[in-house]
Amino acid sequence: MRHDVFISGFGGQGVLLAGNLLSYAAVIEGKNVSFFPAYGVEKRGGAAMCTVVIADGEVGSPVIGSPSVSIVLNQASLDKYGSRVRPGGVCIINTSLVDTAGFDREDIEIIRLPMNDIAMQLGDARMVNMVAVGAYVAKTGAVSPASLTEALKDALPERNHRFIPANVKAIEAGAEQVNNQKA
Amino acid sequence: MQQVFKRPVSLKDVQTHFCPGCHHGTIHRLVAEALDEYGVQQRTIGVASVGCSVFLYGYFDIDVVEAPHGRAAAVATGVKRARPDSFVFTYQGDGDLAAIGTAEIIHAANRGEDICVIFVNNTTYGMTGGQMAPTTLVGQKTSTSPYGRNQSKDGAPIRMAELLAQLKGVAFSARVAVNSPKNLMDAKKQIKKAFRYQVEGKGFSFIEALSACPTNWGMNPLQANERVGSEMTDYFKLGVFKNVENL
Amino acid sequence: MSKRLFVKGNEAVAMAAIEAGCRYYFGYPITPQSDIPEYLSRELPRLGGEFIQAESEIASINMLLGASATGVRAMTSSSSPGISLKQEGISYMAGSELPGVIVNISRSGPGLGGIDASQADYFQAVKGGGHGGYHIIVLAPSSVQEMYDLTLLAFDLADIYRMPAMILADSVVGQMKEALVPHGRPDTLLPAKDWVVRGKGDGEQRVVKSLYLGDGELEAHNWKLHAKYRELKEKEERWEEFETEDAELVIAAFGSTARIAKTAIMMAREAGLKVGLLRPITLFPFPERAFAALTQRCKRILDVELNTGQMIEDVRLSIARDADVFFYGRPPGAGSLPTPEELLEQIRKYC
Repeated sequence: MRHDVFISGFGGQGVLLAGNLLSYAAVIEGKNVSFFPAYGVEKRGGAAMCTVVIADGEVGSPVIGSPSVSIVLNQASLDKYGSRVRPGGVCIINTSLVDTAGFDREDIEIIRLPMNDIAMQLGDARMVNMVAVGAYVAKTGAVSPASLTEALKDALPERNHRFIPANVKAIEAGAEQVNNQKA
Repeated sequence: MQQVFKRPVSLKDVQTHFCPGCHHGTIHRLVAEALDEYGVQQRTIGVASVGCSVFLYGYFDIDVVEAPHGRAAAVATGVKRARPDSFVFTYQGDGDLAAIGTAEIIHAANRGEDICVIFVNNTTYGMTGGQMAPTTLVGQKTSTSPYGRNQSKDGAPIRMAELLAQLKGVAFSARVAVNSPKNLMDAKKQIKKAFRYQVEGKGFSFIEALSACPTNWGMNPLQANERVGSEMTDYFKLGVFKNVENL
Repeated sequence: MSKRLFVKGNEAVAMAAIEAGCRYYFGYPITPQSDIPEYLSRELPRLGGEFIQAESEIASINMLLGASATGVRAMTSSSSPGISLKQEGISYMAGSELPGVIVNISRSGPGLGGIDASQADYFQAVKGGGHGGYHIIVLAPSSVQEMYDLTLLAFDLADIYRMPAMILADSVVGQMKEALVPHGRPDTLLPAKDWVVRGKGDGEQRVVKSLYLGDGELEAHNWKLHAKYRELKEKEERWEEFETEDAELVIAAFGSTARIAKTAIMMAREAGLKVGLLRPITLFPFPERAFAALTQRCKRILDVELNTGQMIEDVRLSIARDADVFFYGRPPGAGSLPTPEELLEQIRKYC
């Protein structure tokens, strides 16, 4: 199996933490993974973006032109990365902050989730990245929910481990939304 | 019969390549005497520089690393940090230390590296044939200042001993000369003091030794020696500019 | 088995340096390699080592020269413009036969260029970047694990051959995170360092130098260095072949580009195209024999680099005379790395 995903938004939305979390979960499962953050010029204007590739075999390129999935947390990211999802792929969009009018690709599946609202209902808008990861994992099965929970210990600094239960809830909420849409 | 004068054991029994009237040989001897005095020859690592003094290892019976031009203080930093028990000194000329190696000497001094630096100032690039050095005196003619050093274009000669004395990391900074018995005796004293400071772990010590270069000055040895005691010491004052023991 | 860690390539270099016994680091900050000095500034003092943030790249390489002359394992790291400043010292180290590890997490140029991943320092690294005609060992990792493994190897090879060894990577390999299984130093037999300066004690004087003015001395010294380069070519060429058995087109690429090429090759194979990869791991010594052997059966090479064509010259010198070499180059632009999809298009041109 091979999963590649773009995660993009602006700085402060936890884009890199989301990518790290997925990667740690893959490491726990004994899979190969590469996490490649965009840096330098690509970070201009406070943008944040990373590419995660998870594979049972060789990862190959840590750099991807057209990913199978793109997680889009803000408007600028939709404009930049929505068009790059490869045909048959998935675009998971944070509709709390992104207007999807005019984004009408028919060759991919579009999952619209008001991630900020979901996170706020759980008590903290900062968990928008966890909602996104939950949705991604429910959709793709790239890693198991159990590995994600375990990976939180690696991905979060020790002082934030007390937030792990809340993060798990946010991941579950994101997953639930996707599962409901499936059903 | 009692032997009252002999070659320091830190010096090899060889003839130097230095020109007649050059002070390098005398300064070499004073350095060797200081090594003997503190019994550090066997744990000394000398750092040679590029210039007339490059053949340090040919005259001193000590281990030596040869540094690129100007980099002796950085090389010595690496040596001393890796082997803190060794006694480390550099021996550099004015082109090497005060021009191309300015950054290295200032920062090694500022870090207070526990090394000694012997800086030989003869106001010219000796080995390359007498070009203008950062220490060339105003008006002095050299092969690249044929009309004399012009302060408005070339700047004034740099007084390294005073300059380095400003830095916190420097434990000792002095300028000496070996042109007269009196100056030579004082030079010997200051070099020993500089070496003692390293032996005692007091930090960076710096000796600027004025030297004659008859060949490139176009003088005979006596005239050159005379110039050190007049023109040179008028501008490059002898003395101690920093001494942590007096602070 | 050690735990699988998840770390940046740059961190893997620093971890391996410590594992290799390196306790002395000298450097100057520059993007995108600052993770290395940051890591070592934290760890070396705890291990009784020394970390110096020097006043310049020039000072750093000369501190490395001095430390190496005393026999300890030491390193410096930088990125392209800083590596240019180090070339003087590297030439002196090569001339003085000093080991030492130099890491170049290269960025784009010439001049200030940019900070994007680049392979434009290939010539500088493998052809002797400073004056005087010499080579250093150049290793090109393409994964985080290899950043670790090849750093260990670099220290060993540097000691065995008494010459500087360089890790040549870029920001893709340096900044990406992957799983890493750390492990101990290989049990390599290393020659005694009977040449180091240490204070002569009661023994013979030792001198570390590159100045040879006696009749015939320097010529003899150069032939001695040359003999080591020949020995390296005989014993130390390293490369990886991927899907080359039946390949009708083989991509030649190193480091990050080889990674991108691998995915392109997987895509091409799915489309039924017989493509493989020959990835030099040692850039000096260049795996000439691998290219010679491969091009006995596969006559088409597509050389891919993040520059306008440098390694291709070594590829051309190594292949069978009737093989063709094509080139696809991407000198770095702002934030634009070639993608596997882009390389697949190139593959289709030559299949």
